[in-house]
Amino acid sequence: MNEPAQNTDRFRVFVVALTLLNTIFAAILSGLQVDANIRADQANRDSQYYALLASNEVIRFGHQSAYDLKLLATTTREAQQSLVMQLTALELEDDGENESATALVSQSEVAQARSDTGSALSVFYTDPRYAPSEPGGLPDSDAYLADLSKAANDFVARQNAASDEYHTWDNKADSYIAVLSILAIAFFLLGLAQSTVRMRFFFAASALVVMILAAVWTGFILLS
Amino acid sequence: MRERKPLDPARMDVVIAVLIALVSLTTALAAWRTNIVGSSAAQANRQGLIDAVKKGAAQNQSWRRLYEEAGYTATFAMESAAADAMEASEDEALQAAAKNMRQYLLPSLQLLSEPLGTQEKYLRSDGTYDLEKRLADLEAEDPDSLAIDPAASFELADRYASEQRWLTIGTVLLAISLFWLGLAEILSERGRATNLALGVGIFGASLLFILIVEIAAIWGRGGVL
Repeated sequence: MNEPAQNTDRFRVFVVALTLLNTIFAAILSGLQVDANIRADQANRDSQYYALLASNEVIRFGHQSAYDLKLLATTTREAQQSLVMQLTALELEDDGENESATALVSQSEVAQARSDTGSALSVFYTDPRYAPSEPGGLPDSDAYLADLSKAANDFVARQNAASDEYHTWDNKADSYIAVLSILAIAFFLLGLAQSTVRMRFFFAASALVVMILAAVWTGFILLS
Repeated sequence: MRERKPLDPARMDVVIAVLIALVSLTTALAAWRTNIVGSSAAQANRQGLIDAVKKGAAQNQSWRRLYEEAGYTATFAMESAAADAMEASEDEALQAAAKNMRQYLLPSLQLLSEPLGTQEKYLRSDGTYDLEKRLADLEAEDPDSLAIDPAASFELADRYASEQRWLTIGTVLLAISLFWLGLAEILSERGRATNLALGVGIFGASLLFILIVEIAAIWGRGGVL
């Protein structure tokens, strides 16, 4: 067999090997693209689910805080009214209006009874986390609000994480599509290398360069 | 008459063409099945989100009723304590007002606070009300909503997604087999038999792979396609 014929055979084997490599590369990329898409879908679903849970939690703590704060406001108002009536009763006593003073004291006791019962039912006075540390002190409403919103904040944090994950996988899936498009160009160049004689080395080399570029890009996508 | 060899090029052309048609059809079927599985995953995800919305709506309704009852219960308790204080006072007007409160106001408030404010099981020893127990009872009143489990749909979706991944690999293997068969059809001389053997071998392996994936996935879902 003469030398040019041998070279032609070797070149054909080389191009076929490149084509096979490109095919396997494209096949792996297709798998990675599908995987990235699935992960993006799952993260997107999780993101929506956590958004729903966060929204439900906000509604729940809206109901709870409305109840707790209304009870606290009523309790405080009754206690203050009781105090004002007691002070007024003392003033009336000083002025010699004992009958009016006695009536006011009774009313003050009624208001105080309401306030005491409200306090006994209020989380602000029964829960040691929020109850005043000293008699007559104020409940720790900041701690109450922080505890109340913790669950919702946790859900929002998870939602944000899932959303970030979705964007990461979605971008990867898009990038894999771009690499697959580049591999299509490599296929085209390899086809030309097989069908032409004069420019075959140029087309084969171009295809190889394109494949190397695609491989490097794929590496970046995998590591990102 | 000319004797035909087993690897007669003309006969091989036909055999390979038939094989290519068969592999193409199988690839199309595998791609269709992969899409079906992907759609099932999307459907299960969608169902899970719908379930989450339904469950959330039911929970919100339970919370609303709970705190509505709790509000009336607190008002009833406070007004009861006020009536006690009025009765205990020496003020006759307050005593008379207490009598009227017991006759008209308190029964109405008690009615509104039902059942949290009226049933013993919700009253704790320290005089507070067991809101957690009442919430559990409220949720138990709606067993359909209680039974909704979005996580189950999401788990099913993940199973479908996993199957979709493996089926994609199977489809890709089929495409590679098609590539080799295509080469065998084009190349008429040296390497044709090798290409053909590779194509048929990968095709067989792909079919076996897809079969195993399908059986494992369907078994994992308890027989659901």
